[in-house]
Amino acid sequence: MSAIEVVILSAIVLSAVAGVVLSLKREKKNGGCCGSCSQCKSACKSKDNQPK
Amino acid sequence: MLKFCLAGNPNSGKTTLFNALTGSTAHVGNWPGVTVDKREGVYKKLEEKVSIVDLPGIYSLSPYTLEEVVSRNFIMDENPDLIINIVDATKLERNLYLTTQLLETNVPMVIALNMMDTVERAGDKIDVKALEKAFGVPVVEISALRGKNINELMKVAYEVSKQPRKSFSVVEHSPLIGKAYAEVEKLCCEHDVDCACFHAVKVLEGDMLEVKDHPHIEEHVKEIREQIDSSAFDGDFEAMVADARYQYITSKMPSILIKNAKQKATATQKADKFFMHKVWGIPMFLVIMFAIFHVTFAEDFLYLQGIFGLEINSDFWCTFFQIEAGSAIPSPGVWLQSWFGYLMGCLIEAIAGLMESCPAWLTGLVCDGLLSGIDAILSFLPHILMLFLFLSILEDTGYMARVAFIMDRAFRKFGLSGKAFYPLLMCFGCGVPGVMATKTLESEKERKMTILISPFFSCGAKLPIWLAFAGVLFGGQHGDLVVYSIYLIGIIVAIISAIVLKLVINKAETAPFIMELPDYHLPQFKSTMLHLWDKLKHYLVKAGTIIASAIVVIWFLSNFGFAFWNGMVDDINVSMLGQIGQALQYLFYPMGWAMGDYGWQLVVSSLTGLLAKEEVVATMEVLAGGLGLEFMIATMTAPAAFSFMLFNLLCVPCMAMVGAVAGELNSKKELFKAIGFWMLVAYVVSAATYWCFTYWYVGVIVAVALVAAFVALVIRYKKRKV
Repeated sequence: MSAIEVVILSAIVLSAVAGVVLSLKREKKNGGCCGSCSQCKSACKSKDNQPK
Repeated sequence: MLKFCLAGNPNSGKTTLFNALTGSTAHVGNWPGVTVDKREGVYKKLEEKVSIVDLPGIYSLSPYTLEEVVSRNFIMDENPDLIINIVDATKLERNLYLTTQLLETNVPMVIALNMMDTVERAGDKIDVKALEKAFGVPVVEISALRGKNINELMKVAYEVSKQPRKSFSVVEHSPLIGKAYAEVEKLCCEHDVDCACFHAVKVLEGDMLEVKDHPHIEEHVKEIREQIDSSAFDGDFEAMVADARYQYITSKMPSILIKNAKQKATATQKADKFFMHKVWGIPMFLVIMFAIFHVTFAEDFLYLQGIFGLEINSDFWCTFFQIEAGSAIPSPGVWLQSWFGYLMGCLIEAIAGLMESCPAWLTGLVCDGLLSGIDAILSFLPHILMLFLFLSILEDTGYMARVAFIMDRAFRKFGLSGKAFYPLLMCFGCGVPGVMATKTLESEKERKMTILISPFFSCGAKLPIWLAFAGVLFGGQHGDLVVYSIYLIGIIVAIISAIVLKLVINKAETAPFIMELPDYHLPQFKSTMLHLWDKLKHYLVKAGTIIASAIVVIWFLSNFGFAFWNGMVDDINVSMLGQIGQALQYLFYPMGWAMGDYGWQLVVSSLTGLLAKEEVVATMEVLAGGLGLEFMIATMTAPAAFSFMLFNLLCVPCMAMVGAVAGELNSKKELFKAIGFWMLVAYVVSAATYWCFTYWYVGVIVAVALVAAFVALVIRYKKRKV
């Protein structure tokens, strides 16, 4: 592999790793919700309305 | 902007009206408790924009449940300009109980009389003028489902919101506590309590929050209470107030509701005699579920080949069904999946053709990695959507609410109530909202038990795993039975786990389960399509984000050695992932499947399932190389394949669900206990399946040991009880 190929491959793999980490972080922030479907959104929002 | 809120009993049609007014696509279900949180939208067809707030369904404004707290806090603290009280006209008397409480607030109000079409069909009549006179607020007849009269409702609501409304309580008409109420209200006015009418009734009831908020008048209220003869109600003032409300409603009902004298049993009542039968209710549910699995996954539709020997041999039909000559007619789900798989294959081939001049590693990354992995999970999309279409129809018709009811009796024996069925039912779609929905369970122990067994209910993300195996096992002829059996085994393991957890941990009595059964109705096309769109969006978002990223990483690790700059390796076993996988492989040996030709690949695939369960199949496809995951599965024996499926069904769920469980359990110690529990169950069940079905005598020994362990647990439980 040429040096330029190594750099491109490394960049692709590192951005993929970042993609996985960011997705997991987003899920953690949302308390496990994917945040894309209405069931999840509703369930997530209800976390803020727990009886005190 | 004006702010109107929708308040009413559960399953009275609030969310349907909310969607119709705001053009939203909020989840609507034909069972009570779909909305556990308030949500907002905007109505734009009036002179000024109106913010519409959909509150969760409630029976009262007493702060006992999460839904009641959310609704009460909104109405009392956030000063809405108007309340649209949705009243289910088919259950008028019960729905008006909440109306009497809403009238005690000084917020302007309109009653939206929903489901009037059903009342008219039954031959009943409701006198709207009499209803307006009895409750002192305008009434508009609507059909939220059909969007009938909703613009008229908003026009009336807009006019009403401009005028202040004086609160009043029907309790003042009570001969028993009317006088006491008047005295407490006077007391509240003297102490400058805002909305004295509402607070006076609540203080008189002994509402916990009100007593805490108004300690200065509590002594006087006690004296007033002592003057009332409450012996008939055992000193329960809440019951006395409830009785006063119902007395008022009952006294007005003859002039409001004119019942059809020749009323016959409704279609719902007739159907319930059949579907909710105490003997065949549960078997009927199992048969319905099998029928759904058969239509979705069967290679031999209606067993036409198995029973009648019907085969397809003509070229036209073979192309139409995408099958080989001499095959059976496939079920609609399999037929759609074949076409989808064919089109995806054409797309991948076209892209591969375009990349011929690219470097080998880039073609490999895009075609063998990214596209193959995503194809492996997307090709099952028609199956998944079809299964959820049927489940959504069952939910929309009102049948699933019945299943919760018939399951209550069975669940109770295992320490759970029918109320736990809803969260568990949601887990068939996705475990995350399922786990979050457990917060509606009042008993803490029941909630914990439900969370612990929830991953055993196979979610949509695990479906590609079952489908990949179903297409290969037993020659791919019994896909419906394979998938159905996995779902059933998951439920059985959950039940056994619940029994064990009940005997070991949960000694508390199960909370009683009271629910209002909705009427059956035909599924709504829009609502069903919205459910499917939700599922599709969820799937595509995951495939395009976490799964696609993980596939790239897996492909890189499985095609390069630790000195990756030297280029791609020829043998996958010497790749980075190969070396890591082979080191871990031994831990999974007892379960059988890790011992085969593709042992470490299967281990790595299972581990990537922690990111997202769809990832298991995508990783298998990438690690199978050019041979495809079907070849990988074909090298496994049936016990090893089932053992692998069960391990993936029962082991630690995806990170998203673990996050949800962590949030709900709110304790790291409890979370680690839960993870340990899932791993133990998965390991034991998976290993037992492999060894018992590979060597019959092991099966006999394990069966005897299980019976002995169960008897020992029962004896221990009985001794504790004594």
